[in-house]
Amino acid sequence: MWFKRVMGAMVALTVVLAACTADTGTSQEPSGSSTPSVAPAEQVLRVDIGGEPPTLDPTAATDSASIQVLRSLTYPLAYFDEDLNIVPGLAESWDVSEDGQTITFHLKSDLKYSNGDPIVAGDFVYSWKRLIDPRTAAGYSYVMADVVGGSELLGADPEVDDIDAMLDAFGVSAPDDSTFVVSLAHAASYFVYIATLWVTVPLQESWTSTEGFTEAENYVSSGPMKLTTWEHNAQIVLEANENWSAGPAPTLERIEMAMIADPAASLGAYETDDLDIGSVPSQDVARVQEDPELSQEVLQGTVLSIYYFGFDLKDPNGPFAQSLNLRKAFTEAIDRETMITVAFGGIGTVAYSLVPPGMPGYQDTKFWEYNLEQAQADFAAGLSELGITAADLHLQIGFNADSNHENKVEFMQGQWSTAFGVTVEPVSLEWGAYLSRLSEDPFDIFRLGWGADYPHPNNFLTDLISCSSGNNNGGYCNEEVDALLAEAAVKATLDEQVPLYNQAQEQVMADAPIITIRNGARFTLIKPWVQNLVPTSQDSSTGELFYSWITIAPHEM
Amino acid sequence: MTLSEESAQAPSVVVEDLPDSVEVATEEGRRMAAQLHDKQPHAKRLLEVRNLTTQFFTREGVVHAVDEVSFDLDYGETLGLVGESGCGKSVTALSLVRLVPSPPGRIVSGQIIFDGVDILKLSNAEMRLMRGKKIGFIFQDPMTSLNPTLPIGFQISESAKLHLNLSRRAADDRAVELLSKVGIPRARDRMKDYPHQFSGGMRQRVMIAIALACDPMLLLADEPTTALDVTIQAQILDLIRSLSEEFGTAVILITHDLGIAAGMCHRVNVMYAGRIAETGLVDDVFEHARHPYSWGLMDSLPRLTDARSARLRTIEGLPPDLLDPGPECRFSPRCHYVTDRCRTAEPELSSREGEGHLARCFGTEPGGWIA
Amino acid sequence: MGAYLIRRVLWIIPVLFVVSIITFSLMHAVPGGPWSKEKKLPPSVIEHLDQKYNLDEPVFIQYLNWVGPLQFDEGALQRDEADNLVFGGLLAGDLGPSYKYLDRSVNDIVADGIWVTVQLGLMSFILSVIVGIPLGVIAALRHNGIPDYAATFVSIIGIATPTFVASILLLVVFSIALGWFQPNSLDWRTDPSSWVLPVIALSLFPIAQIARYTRASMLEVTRRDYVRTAHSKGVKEGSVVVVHMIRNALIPVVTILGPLLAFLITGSFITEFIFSVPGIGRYYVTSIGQRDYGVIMAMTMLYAAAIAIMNLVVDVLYAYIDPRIRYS
Ligand SMILES: Nc1ncnc2c1ncn2[C@@H]1O[C@H](COP(=O)(O)OP(=O)(O)OP(=O)(O)O)[C@@H](O)[C@H]1O
Ligand code: SF4
Ligand SMILES: [Mg+2]
Repeated sequence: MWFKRVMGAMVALTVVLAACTADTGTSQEPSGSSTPSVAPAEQVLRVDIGGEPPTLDPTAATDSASIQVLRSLTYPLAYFDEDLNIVPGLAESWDVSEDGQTITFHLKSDLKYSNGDPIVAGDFVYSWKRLIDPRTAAGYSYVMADVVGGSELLGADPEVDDIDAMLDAFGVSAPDDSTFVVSLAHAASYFVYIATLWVTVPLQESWTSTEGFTEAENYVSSGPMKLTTWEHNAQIVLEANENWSAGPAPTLERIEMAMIADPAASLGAYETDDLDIGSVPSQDVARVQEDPELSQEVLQGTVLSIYYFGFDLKDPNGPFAQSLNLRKAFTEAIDRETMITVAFGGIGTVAYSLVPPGMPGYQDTKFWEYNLEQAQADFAAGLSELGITAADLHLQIGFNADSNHENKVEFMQGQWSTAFGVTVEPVSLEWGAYLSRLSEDPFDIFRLGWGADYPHPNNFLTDLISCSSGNNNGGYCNEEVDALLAEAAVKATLDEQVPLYNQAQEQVMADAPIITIRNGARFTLIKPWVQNLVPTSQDSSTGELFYSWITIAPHEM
Repeated sequence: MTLSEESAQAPSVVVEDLPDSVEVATEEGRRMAAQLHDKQPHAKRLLEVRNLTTQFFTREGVVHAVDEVSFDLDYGETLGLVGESGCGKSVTALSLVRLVPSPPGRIVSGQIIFDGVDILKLSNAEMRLMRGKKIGFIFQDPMTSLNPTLPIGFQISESAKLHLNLSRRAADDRAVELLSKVGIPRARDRMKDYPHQFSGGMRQRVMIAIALACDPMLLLADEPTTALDVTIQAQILDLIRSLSEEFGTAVILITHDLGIAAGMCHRVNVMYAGRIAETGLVDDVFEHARHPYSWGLMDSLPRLTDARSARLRTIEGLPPDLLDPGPECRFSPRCHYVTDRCRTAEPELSSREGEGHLARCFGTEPGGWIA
Repeated sequence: MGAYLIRRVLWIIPVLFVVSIITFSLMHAVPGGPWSKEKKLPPSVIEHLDQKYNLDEPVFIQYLNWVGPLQFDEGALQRDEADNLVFGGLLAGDLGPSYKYLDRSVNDIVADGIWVTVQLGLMSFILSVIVGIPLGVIAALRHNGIPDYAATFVSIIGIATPTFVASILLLVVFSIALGWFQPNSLDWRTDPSSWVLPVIALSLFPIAQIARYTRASMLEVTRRDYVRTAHSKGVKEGSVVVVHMIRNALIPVVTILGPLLAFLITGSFITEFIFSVPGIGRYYVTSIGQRDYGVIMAMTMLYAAAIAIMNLVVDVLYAYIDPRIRYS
């Protein structure tokens, strides 16, 4: 590396010298021949995945680092285009039956794994059964809930039930090597989004039953890249998978993934040209924006996520469960525009609704706005509804201690205090303890966030706020909303679904079960020589969906 | 004076047979180096101390620990140094080998001529050659004066190796010989033992062996028996006496114990407040003391001769403050015979009856008011 | 000595046993579990995970399984029937599965990183000793002189600067601003320059600590009677320091070296984190947040064992340096 850097400096020097002599020279040579030739750049992308990925088993992965790697190592039936429209992946096409309950995927021909074996429909059958099998205990098994037999398997007890028989009845089949059929228990229009997930990629049984199958020497990839090095806790190297034919051949020869745990060190590595894509810790945002060079390399964009505070509606005697006016008051009292500037360093935008911009079904409506007078009126109404005074309110706001939420909570406390003269007591807990407290007995007001698994409103409504959702920590439950969501789920096309989802969202927002604060934003640094990077609002790491097709322009280092 | 002139005046010479090839840099150093390896007398007296003044520069002020002290010591002679605690006995002895802890202590002025060599003019390196080789030192507390982490064999042979240019084996043999001489049984077996494996008396024997390792001309023994119990004290003193007689070593014996001084010494210096109050042959000082302080010291001793272990009697009043001695007789605040004269000036040491018998008191001067 | 050593080593076993029980119960008593995530898993999935990892058993059965290889719950231990993870238990040298790194066993994780961590710790330890002790000695010898003030200054900075501040500073100055070292080295095994900054960062505190102790101890020893004895023998200044003083001065210093080495070998979490060192130190704290029970137990046991062994080593070293100490 030293050598590389010295060589880089020498090359740079030579180029400068050459340029100087060319300028001062009197000869009138044709410019073409005197242009210093820069060798074509090595097509290598260097990124940071922030730490050791917990797993590279596609079925088991649930976290962003693993997914960042798996997006290049695997390829699902359907994929996205740059605007997150669904496009064919390993499947060339798919048909949905009249009743919406059968989806037949037709695989592209001549698909191969990195080991040269053909990708056959049976591998999907195996992979999907492996995902739902309770003995696998995969974190994302619930995405199979809509498949015939799926919900039974989710609830099965392997020590009691005959799992093998249940798996036989599971609604996936491969009539031939290129046809994969999924039978759904009910029409679920969004289901094709499930087929874009890394957990639904094809897997060879012979591979996953190998001891240590996720290690580099054993890894069998279905994606555009293959795994050539996994030095635990140090680095991962992917190289182009020459057997891959499901799409345009990867333009990168190699992706080097570092595991830099410390965000400051990661930014440092970017600044010393050891990374091509850099993330910026919040305390460095201002510096980067002011830096004449770095500020040129900033890539901003939206991310499909929200930062929110929920109200405790689980406790029927709690003030927020009893009074909609109180919830409204506490929402209207927050000046979120200012909050973004003050507490989020100006990065991101106010979330005025649950479904974030960039997602189908997004409504450009400001459901609740900052309105101090209204808030105070609602507060008074709420108190008289409950027959109490402000002094009777003993409220707690909970957040997890470990990552920069104090200033947000403080901001909100301040606003409530000015608006109502009430002091909301902040309580912070360590992450694990915090989560377990939320599922048992949430704080009156509690902080959480939500990011998209797939770009469909179902993921922000049904999965987050429906009565039965496990992620509905506040315990909000409105039968009407659930009915609308169920109705939307059986509609075949997005156009038919969206009005229903909109109606559902309007109802939810009217009930004010949570204060939506901010939609996520990306603030990434991209080296100028990184070309054809395609960021989408679905990425948790910028450009991860389309890493393989990045090109590296010639540059001096 | 330019640098070259200076070096021309005092050229550095490496004297061949100096053990660690110390560069001898001073005039005195060359004289010393020439005499280092023989025990022949090179002067009239072994030791001439003149106006030795050692002070401690402390935060509270300057402590006049040793003030204008002068005395002589003959070859082979044993001199006692007695006086109350804090009167400057130890500092006097340490000054002789230039081991006054510094900072804060410093020899401010005076002269120490040892075997014809002016000790205060030697360089530090030259002075090191004297220590251990020509002057041995026995300290008061054998429990703490030996290094707990080194075998006693090493501690004895160390100076022999250093000063006598002996090989390790020869130095070890010398150590064994010395150990048996100081009365340690099975000496060779015990060479590898550590100090904690010896009793207090045994350790003081080891100290003596160390001090005598290079057959010095002068042995400084600073209360060598104070830390030991009575029977052991007698053994150690006998050992010092017999060895000093055998080797012809002069001894300065510092003690609180007048009985010991009387029994061991030819001459005795009584010190008070950093000064010599009285000096003379043992008999003269003990039988015909001419200083009220000496009387005070001996007052309580019923019969000196069999009172070996009798301690100095405490004299009424506090010892004077060495920080700021006034112009008066230093003993005057505690003296029964004090007159106005004593409070305005300090008496000089002056002759009394007996060979070299001097005392510092107006009252016992010829024509004084004390009979 | 031999019998003493054996006795001491045997004593480590009950100590580790008690530590393991306490840690095991505490870690299960703390709310939350390995499957808590911001995006919650459905209860049925959590149930399946608990079954697979035997977390549905009572805690003491889980503990016995962890100690192993006592086959208490036959059902749970037959992997073929219910496909639960079966492991041999600590006594069989099997530290069990990681609850976070799903592809890997704790044994794998530890085996991968432990030598890097130990190497980092040892290198820092050696650096600390060879810099800290001379620094303390020089400071004491030039008491109240410029070297003393300089060394004291260095010590105070070293002690007052948290390791993470020092690490970030080194990283920012030498990697990012000056570009002398790579901020994230990928070749720890082959590129010695990778180790420079983390070793220095990790050593600053121990250097300061050792220097401080050594200085105080040397000053103390300077006043000792046996040092005066050595001077009275005409021993040269340098030999007095080397032969007579340092060894005595080191006795109290050795007391802190054991815990320090244990700390360095196991406690390089922050340094590993900041310099992306592929050791196990990183796991020590992250595993607790993640409730990665297997890793928590492994780290605690390693740490406890390291401290116990280091204390033993210190005691043995003591006897070597201080002849007054003998064990039987
Ligand atoms: N390191 C030192 N710093 C300051 N003052 C000192 C130091 N050493 C000795 N002194 C002072 O010098 C004076 C003489 O001390 P010295 O040790 O010579 O007394 P001494 O006659 O040997 O008494 P003792 O019988 O108690 O040993 C004392 O007043 C003491 O306070
Ligand atoms: S000079 Fe005076 S005060 Fe001093 S000792 Fe003699 S009589 Fe006493
Ligand atoms: Mg004394």
